Amino acid sequence: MLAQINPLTFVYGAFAAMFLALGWVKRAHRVSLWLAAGLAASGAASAYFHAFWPMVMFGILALWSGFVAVEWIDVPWRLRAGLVFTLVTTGFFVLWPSLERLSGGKLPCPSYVEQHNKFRLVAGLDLRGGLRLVYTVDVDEAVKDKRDRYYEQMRAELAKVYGLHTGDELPSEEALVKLRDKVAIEAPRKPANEIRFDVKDDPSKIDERFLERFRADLTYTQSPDKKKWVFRVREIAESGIRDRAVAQAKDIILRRVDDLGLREASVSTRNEDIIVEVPGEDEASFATIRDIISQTARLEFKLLDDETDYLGEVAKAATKESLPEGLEFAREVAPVGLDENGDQKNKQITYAYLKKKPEEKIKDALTRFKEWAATLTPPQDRELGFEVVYETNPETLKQSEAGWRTYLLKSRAEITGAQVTEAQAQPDQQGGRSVGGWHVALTFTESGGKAFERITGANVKKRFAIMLDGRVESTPVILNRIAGGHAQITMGAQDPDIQLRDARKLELVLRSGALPAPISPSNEQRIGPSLGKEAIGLAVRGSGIGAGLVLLFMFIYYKRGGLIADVAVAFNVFLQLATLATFGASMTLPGIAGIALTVGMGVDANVLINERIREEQRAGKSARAAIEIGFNRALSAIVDGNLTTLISGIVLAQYGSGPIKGFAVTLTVGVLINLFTAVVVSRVFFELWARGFGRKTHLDIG
Amino acid sequence: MNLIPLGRLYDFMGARRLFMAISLAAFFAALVGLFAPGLGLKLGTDFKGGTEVEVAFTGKVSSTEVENAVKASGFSHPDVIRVDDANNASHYIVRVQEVSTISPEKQAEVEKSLCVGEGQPADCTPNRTATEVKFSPGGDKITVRFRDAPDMAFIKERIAGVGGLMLRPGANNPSLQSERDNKVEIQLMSKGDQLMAGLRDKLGADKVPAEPLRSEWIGPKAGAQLRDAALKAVLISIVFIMAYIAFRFDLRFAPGAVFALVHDAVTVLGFLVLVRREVNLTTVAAILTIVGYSINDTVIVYDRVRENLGRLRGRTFRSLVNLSVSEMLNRTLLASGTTIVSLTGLFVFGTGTLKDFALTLIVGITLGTYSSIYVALPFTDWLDHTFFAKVGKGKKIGQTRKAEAPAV
Repeated sequence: MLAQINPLTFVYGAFAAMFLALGWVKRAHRVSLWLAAGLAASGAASAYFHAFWPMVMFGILALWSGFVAVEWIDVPWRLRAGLVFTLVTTGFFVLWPSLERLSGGKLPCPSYVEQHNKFRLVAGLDLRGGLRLVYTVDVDEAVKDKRDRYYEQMRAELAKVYGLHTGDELPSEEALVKLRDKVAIEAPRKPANEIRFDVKDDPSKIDERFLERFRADLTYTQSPDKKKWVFRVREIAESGIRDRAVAQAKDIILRRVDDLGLREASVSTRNEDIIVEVPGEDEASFATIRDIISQTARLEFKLLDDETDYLGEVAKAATKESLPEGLEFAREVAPVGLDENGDQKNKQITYAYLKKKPEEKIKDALTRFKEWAATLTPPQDRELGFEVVYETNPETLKQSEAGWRTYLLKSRAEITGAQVTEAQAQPDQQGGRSVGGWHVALTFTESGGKAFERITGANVKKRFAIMLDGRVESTPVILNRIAGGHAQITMGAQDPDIQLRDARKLELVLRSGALPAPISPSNEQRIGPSLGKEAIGLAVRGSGIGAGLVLLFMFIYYKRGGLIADVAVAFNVFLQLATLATFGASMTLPGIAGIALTVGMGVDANVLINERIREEQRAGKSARAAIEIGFNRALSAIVDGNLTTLISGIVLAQYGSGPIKGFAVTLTVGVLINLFTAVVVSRVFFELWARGFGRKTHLDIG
Repeated sequence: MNLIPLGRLYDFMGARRLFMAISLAAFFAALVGLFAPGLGLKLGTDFKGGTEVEVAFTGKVSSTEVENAVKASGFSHPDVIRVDDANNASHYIVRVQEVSTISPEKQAEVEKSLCVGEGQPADCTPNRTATEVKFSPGGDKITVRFRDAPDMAFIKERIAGVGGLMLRPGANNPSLQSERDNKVEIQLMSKGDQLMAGLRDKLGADKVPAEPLRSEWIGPKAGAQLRDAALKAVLISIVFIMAYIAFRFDLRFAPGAVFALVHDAVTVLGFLVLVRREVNLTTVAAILTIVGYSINDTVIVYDRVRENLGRLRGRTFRSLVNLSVSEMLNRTLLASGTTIVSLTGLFVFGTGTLKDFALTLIVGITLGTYSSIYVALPFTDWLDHTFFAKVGKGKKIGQTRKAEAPAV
């Protein structure tokens, strides 16, 4: 039993006991010693439960608290020195595994730390290499999409020509049904750029004015009697659509990778391919990136047609052999609007449910389902939508994906992702309290908000479907007209952690916008650094020599004052690296430039401090007074210089992308840390020098 | 120890006209260099794209050997990237910035031979009629879409018939890329082949395979979008910095600091035009670093001027500047000197991108230090004299600023 307990629990326990006993003996420092005992005890508890970071932090804080009890210099100094110690040791723990790798194993890191510390300093593409992903943009889909839009426009225009519709809005469903008697129009599946229609009514209505609207982008041929028409997207327009699709896809992917954090991925295009290079070697983060990149994120709101029991007819005609394995028909009661009295009307309708085979992947089950669905011919302007069905295990209460079900949808997308201005993951609330689940809140553009209000107003007590990339995400019932331009997407009923993860992903992809066409992975490779190993080695040596010279010079010039400056600058770099590791930022050349700049500013700040202390000593001040006044005088220059740089760092991080952002983030972090090291770290050491080992009246700083 | 003897006063502002003239001349020369036709920045692969060849070598070669062989074949600044390949340790991607081009006349000729446009001869059946012809900017590939399932033999014959274009040998060229939209890819002899020939020549035919795995043009990593984003970010931060300086110091100090910053960035870019270095993403990082350094240095010099303004009232602004800069000279030389020394290490030992990076920074930091003294301060002085002198003696900076306790 005892053997299973983390041995560190006992180490911490022993410390707690020691601090407790010391507090008993040393009355004057009882507060801080007992605080230390409490912190060490908390550390022991954390160790017992294998909570790594709490354990480390409690340990460091206990030492800080214990240090305050040591009678040396004065309490403010001990507090500040303790703070420096805390930050540096924390930084060391964060960087420990990375340091082991950088030093080539010379600084061994215990596997216990390595296991529990997930922070790693990732070298960027130029220094270490990473993963290279090649995607092909399915530009044909973009052309088809455009064709579909022309198809909608043409139907609207035809409805106007035959007097069934007026105004700029899309024609109503009734108008389109009536139009079918006048013109048989279809958007053929192949080739992707054609629209054909047969006029049954008076063909002279298809006149110059009608053609004028489409002539810019479409060419047409007609039968001699002017009844059969074939419209084609012009080749040049098609070419433009393809080029735009690739360029847009690149921008959107870049935005998505940027939003994921600081991984400085590079995105470039080649013909109709998009090449993404991601630094690092962390499989889990690659998986997230792949996921985020390849999602089309096409959001659509479609109305359900629960009035037509189409699948009921299919079910009657079907035989068991003609159906795929695991498919069955089920019935449900659906709300279909209001009756004369304003009450909810219901109707029984049929849907198909496909249970996945035990070992089958949920995606493959959908493919099977869709293959079957392709053999059906739904009524005009209707289509089948598919939604994942979850199943709860009665014993473990865990939910899992069990299969897919269908809905009969009206084909027209009433609202699309293009009409969404903002998406945000939010916790589900009930009576002002969070209930554990997550959803994504959407804000529509003005036109989107109006459309949403109109649609919800006209379809009260009916269901609509929120679709993402062709799959139904949810089918809420419209309770009343929704004004204000907001809507929510609920996450499938799963456990909150997965919900949160999904909600964040959805938020990210909806914000960055939908890809203009689906993309598919075509190639994947691991690549080495773009700077040669030798070049990096030489550069490291060069910078090492340069930095060494500076440190040496500072020491010669300011003697011990220079040494303090050297220590402060070293702390600066160390803390910067630790902070960047916690962010998961990758170190690239631009990032290193940011560090170099702050090192320069760190040296500068220390030079200012040393010069001021010299001046004060020359004016006859005592060592203590010189430190006090020197620091205060230097402070205004240091703060102003750092703050102006900080301003540009923040602005660059806000508006820049890719490498600029990486540079800006390291710069911002560096400036903040520089302020700390110059003002606190240097001062702690100066005071230690002046007062720590007997009082000095004069500091020899050259 | 002191670099500059204590208490020494130098007349910096005495020579302000000369140095301002030099700065302005350099600034405008740089602008001319940047925007004059025929001149301008030399953009590198990151902005312009280049040729990329992926080679699985048949013998063991190191990345340095490959890099040297590529350089020896007349290509500048190659990137040699190792590909993790379990079967072959010598599998590399080589990127160079050189690209071949197909002239517009040749492009028209190709289009005509592939039955594009009106009035084509009768043998232009739908399976020979191209609906879209795209030339890769690298001049190594033509992508064509046909109205109908394409007649490959015809395409091959026609392209071979266009003078000056050479089809890359190989059975699968031209190749049908997609049946759905009848997309055909035609590969041409290009810089990639020249690169392969160079490699074969330098490394020996036994190590270099007959055909690379891929050879193609790649697009730039950073386009106009990144450049615009960087520019926008810099402009916005300039506005904020001006506001900060106006708030912490005086309205009159702000334009000088900003002018110094712009002067440094532009002059460094002009320097890059002069020495014909390429501009890549690292250069952008270097310029941003210089902007940061310049503003930091200027503000620190301003700080001392402000302190002396409060301490020594009644002196002229110029004499105050002389005093302040003289007092700060030790610090200025030391801070900039040490930064430059550390960069010199990188400049001496670094290669390629890193060497350029270090050089840009060294020039920029020298300029940033110089401009604090000879651009920002004289400009502030000039503003003070030109726009504020007439208001009356009492309004001049040197005489009115109230005594300010050193800010904490």
